[in-house]
Amino acid sequence: MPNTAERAMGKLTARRGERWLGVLAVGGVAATVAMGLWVTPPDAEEGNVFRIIYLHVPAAWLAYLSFLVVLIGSVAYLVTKRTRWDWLAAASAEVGVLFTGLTLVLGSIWAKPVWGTWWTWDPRLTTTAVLFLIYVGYLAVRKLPDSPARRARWAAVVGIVGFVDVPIVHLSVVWWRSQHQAPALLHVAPRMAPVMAAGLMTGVAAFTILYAYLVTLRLRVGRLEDRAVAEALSPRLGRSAEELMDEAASPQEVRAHG
Amino acid sequence: MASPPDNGGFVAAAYLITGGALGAYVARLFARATRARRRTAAIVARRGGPPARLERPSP
Amino acid sequence: MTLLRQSWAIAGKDLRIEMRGRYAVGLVLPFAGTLLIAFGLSLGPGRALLQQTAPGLLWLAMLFASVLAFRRSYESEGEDGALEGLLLAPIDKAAVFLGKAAAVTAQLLALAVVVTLLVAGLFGLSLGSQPGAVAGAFVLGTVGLAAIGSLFGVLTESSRAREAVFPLLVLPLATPILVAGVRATSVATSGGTGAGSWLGLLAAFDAVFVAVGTLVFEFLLED
Repeated sequence: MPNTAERAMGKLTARRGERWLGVLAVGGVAATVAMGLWVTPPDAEEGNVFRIIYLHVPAAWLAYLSFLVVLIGSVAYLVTKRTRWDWLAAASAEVGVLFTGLTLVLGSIWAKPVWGTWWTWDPRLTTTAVLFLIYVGYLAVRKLPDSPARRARWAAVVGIVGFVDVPIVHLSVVWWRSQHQAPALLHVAPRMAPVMAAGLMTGVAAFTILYAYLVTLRLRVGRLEDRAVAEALSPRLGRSAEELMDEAASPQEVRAHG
Repeated sequence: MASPPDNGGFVAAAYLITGGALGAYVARLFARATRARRRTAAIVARRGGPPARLERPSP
Repeated sequence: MTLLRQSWAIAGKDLRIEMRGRYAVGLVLPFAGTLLIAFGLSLGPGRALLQQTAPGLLWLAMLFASVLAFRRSYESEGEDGALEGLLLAPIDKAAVFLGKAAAVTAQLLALAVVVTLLVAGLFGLSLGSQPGAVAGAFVLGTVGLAAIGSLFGVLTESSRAREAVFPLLVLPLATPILVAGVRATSVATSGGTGAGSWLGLLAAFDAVFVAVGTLVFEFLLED
């Protein structure tokens, strides 16, 4: 079992690594904003409103990436029963719902000047709205009053079922729109100048780093909060807080301590 | 072709909302971290010192 | 195949409970009726709009009614520790999922018949042109709803907090059923083509959800 010094060392490097990620993330976002607002030219058709895309597309990418990570964490948790996967899923879901909401808001702000309406039933945006609701359901399940293990299992099931559902939702909404011959609303790819493409790629890369930072930060917050609970319970359970947290991380090893 | 409308307000709103939301979330996470650390310290202090290995009840 | 036989047994048990308690008739049906009247009041009285929106209203009523039907399905398990009894029995946990889904499918189909007749009468939906496609949409749609509801219905088993989460989960996940069901019904009743591809989507949804549900259900029951 790692002694206190090793554990402290681990926490320190994690913290430093987290700080570096944070610096990179801020830098990346700054670069994206610079690209989006200054380096790129206004779009020929939409004018400056097009600049919203440099935030909207990365945010959408993150919304779906987060959900993929929720799936990975959920499956890994159900298979291995190691709590760290549940923590990853929970952190990714929280960050994911933030970016999904942001995607919807940015899409709406973009739609108003371009299409004259705050909401267009665009297939991608509509699917993202459903994704948002599934995320919210996932987070609600996490808050149910029950044993942590049960909550984690239920959440994992929602994470898996939700992820499987999203492609079917997307397909159904695409067909639903095509029945009314709605024009394609996101005409991004064909006419992009290279500098615009560069702006998008900067945004996607920067936001991915931002995602990693936010999840890392959220995981640390989770550990700290669990630590507080463990300290509170420690005298009653007759074990130190460290032991309680170790047990939570790997339940199967508990038997060996008996 | 007429020059496209400016709509600068929408662009500004988009970037400000993005920055605001991200900043607020990060701030909230740091606040949660600080609060948790303070709670831990308070609980430990009330117990009278850093957590020693507590005596396990004899079987 | 024991899994099928176990599921059949559980489905039979659920249906027998339903027939004795007449929950579907006593509560779910009137609820659906209330919804339809409410829809009519809020969108009518002009016939044209009601006729146009009839397939959508029909499926909305089915969707909300199924939430109710599932709550009852698992409520009966909460009484007298029946669920614990099921868990202790040497049966495949997935049989509980499949059996309950089958039982609720039967109830929802019965509900669908009545709701369709009501919508035909109240909103002037014509059923004539492609009854097969409409029936297909209902069968496939209710199977899909039953799969989702049977899976997450476990959440409604005891405390009230869990019950509130159930509709929040089911409705977004059921989006493809809603879209495909409404489109298929709409196309079929207005004499268009293309109902087939929507039925295909429903079938694919059912296959995926029954398969995934069978795999993950036991994790929901673990204690």
